[in-house]
Amino acid sequence: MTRSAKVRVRTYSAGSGYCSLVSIPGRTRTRHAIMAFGDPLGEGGSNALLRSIARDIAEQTQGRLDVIVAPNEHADTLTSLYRGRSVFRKMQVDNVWMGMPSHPRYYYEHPSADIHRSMKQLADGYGRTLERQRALAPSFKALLRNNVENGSSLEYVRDELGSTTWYLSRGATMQGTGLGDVTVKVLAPEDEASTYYAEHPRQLVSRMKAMSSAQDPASRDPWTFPHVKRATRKAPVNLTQSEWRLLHEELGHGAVQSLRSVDRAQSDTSLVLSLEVRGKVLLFAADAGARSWELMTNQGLLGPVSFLSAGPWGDLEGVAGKHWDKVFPRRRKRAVAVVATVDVARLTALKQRATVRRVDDNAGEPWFDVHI
Amino acid sequence: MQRMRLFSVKTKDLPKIKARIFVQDPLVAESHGVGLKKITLPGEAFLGPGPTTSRVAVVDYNAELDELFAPVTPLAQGAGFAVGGGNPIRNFKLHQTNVWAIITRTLNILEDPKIFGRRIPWAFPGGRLIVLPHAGYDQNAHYDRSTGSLNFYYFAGERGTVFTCLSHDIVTHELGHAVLDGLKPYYNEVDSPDAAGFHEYFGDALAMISSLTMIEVLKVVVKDKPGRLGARNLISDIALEFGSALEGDAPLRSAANPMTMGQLRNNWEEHDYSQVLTGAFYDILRGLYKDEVPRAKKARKKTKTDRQVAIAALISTARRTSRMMLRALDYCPPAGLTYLDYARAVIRADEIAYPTDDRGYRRMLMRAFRDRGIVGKYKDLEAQRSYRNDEFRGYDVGRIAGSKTDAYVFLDANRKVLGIPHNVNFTVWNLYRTRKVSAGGYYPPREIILEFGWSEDVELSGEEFGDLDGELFPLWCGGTLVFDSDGNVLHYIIKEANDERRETLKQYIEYLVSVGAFGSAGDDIGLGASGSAHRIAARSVGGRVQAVRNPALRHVGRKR
Repeated sequence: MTRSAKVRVRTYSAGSGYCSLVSIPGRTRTRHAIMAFGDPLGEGGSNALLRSIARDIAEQTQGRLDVIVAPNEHADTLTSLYRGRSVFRKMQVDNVWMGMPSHPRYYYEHPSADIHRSMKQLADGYGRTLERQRALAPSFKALLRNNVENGSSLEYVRDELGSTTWYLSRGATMQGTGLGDVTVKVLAPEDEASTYYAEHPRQLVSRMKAMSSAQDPASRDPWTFPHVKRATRKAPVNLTQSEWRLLHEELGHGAVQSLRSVDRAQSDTSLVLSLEVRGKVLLFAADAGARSWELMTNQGLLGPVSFLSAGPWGDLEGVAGKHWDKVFPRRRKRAVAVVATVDVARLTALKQRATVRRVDDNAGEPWFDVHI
Repeated sequence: MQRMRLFSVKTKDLPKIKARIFVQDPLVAESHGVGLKKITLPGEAFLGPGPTTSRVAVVDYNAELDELFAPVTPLAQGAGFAVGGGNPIRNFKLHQTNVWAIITRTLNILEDPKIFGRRIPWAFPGGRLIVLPHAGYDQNAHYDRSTGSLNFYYFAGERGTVFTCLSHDIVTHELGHAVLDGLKPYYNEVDSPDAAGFHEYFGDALAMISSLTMIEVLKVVVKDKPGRLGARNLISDIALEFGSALEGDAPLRSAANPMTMGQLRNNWEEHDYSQVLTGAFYDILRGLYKDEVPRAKKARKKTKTDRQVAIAALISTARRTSRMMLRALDYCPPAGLTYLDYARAVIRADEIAYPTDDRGYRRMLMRAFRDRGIVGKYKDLEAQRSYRNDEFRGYDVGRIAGSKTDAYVFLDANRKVLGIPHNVNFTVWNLYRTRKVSAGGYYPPREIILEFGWSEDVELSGEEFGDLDGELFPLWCGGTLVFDSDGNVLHYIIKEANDERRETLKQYIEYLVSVGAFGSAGDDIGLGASGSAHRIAARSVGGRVQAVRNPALRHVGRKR
């Protein structure tokens, strides 16, 4: 087999997040899929970067994209597709693959998952309030930006981006619907997405309600404790001004944790795809977090792969090893993992099993290629 | 015998303060009929709204709502608080006094001559511990040195809202972190799983000690089997309501556990580590109680029932266990603690407090430590060094005890004898006196305790250290020297940097890196900084790593 007959995964340096173009040579033509589109306007990005990535995609695909995968509803996934719409409109985009929770009627048909939508809405409002009140760390600002309500981007991706939009959940097989004879298995998300926050649904919802009620002093929600008398002074009588200021600043971290929970729940609903091409398996895990990996492992969905693409896998820390045992059961020289995490500490276990490349590991070039 | 309160402010002219507290928590109140109890605390020179007193200030701020709840106010005569009535779960003023009174009461127990015989210092500036009974929504409670505060959260449980500020065990556990941080600030450093586990053990031990002073708890515990302590009871079950809300009918942790050091091979998790010592504490309590009950029965008056005798025996046993296990802290090194150091300190402190051991209690202590795998042979529990007074240069205990500077001069002049390396630039961290009393009115020697320490650098090299690869990490060293007031050395322990400690530190850091405990503080500063998402924030200061534990995540990943 010649090098050109191999699958090529081109990973772009797309600022925060990542974007990859998968090109699969076939009998009649090469098929192309974009797996997510990071945020070229975010940290380290620019409009020029977005344009250069879009131009290269158009050139490499000769104006035809078989599939665009929008793995979740994080802003950096959707808005990049939306902002690049002038390029995509000139191209032929046959299919858009999204996770089942992105279906417009999903929450009507899955009422138990509706808390996810409420959480996103509440987090959006609370995040904005927090941003007005406090000096936020850049990384946390980015997290808030990533979880804002993005209705117009979502509608564009659903309704306008491609000829056909598919909403996928675990168990779906997409053979013949976009990537020719490539066997595409959907490993996640679960059809019932509430499973990703089932461990603490009550806690999360209650907490979010409390946060939301904080926006509305007239609320009679029990988590605002309406029966409890408030202090008449704005600062405690038994603290100095500086003690109070310090305490006030430090306690903001509780709200930070709540917003991180919402972010994790969104990451866990990511579309995870396994592509089998001529006996080699490529796994695109997007932002799947600990809960999603746990489910995939427990259900026996994970097997050895030749290529892994994974996002910043936030809460996978500490538990990733057992999952890597499934996808990279032994050290394989040619196995490659492309990861978006910036935390090198988390890569140790992975490095023992595969050649690891970070999305920004491109020696100054706008992209790097991996041939499988 | 006249009750000795050498370190207490005379409060006879001040009215005693009455308050109601939960004996355990609202779930125990429902299941065992042990609910609120009225207690009386010594008068305070200042009693303000909050409550606010000399050592504690309650600030009922809710960070999620960004609102202050009205503070409880003292009654005009200063004898209590205008708490009001109604359902205790909904009465936030009761919550405020509950948490204040439990903390004040527990501090009084610890500062009593029967335990530490001195004031408990804080590790933060200022004399008042700030307490937030309703800090926000979370399954959490934590101590935060940076703000000098205890933060209690609430969350939705199966039976309704769980307020952690109403759990006697949780309040005393968190107070335990604050107390230990005040007594031994360097135990908060990233050092070893022993030191981290010790923090959790100390909190749980304090919860048990406080429970053991509650007569209502003792009555329930001895109710069915007056002669022995079972595996599950209100003493060994720690934070029952909290644990039950998380997972069925089970406490957060149990002191009646079988965990040994042998089972911790390749396990560095601090809550698991704490279980070994918490289990040893309970083993010792059980052993002493089993020994005490037949004696108490023999000596009892005819009018007393078996149950009354059992309660009296348990009170006596509890006091003895608390004294033995807590006083040892004064004999522990100021940094680099291992469980073996602690076990040695327990034995040595007991020898000082009770020179004769006609009941063979020390053998019982040794057995408990051996059974838990903390020590292999009893011989290892013997003091590692002993000194004659004439071995020291410039030895004048009056001067040494006078100031930290004089103490430094003495230590510096005796580096060789004391095993302090010549090249290290050490500091006298602490110099204090105690005044203790043992059972039966025996006065042990008055102690003068001198703690000093320094740090050495350990280079981390290898990709297993992640972002810390190539960095220098501090290894904290130090010693504790205990004299009596006549200048005799009662105890000495020093923790130097050696290959074994360096290797342990490296392995521990490797473990922490592998579980993603470290977050790099870097330039990401402000609310929600990436470092704050991790259990330990690491930043490079002056060429080496400064690792700061994130207090809000201390209990994340906790296990039963």
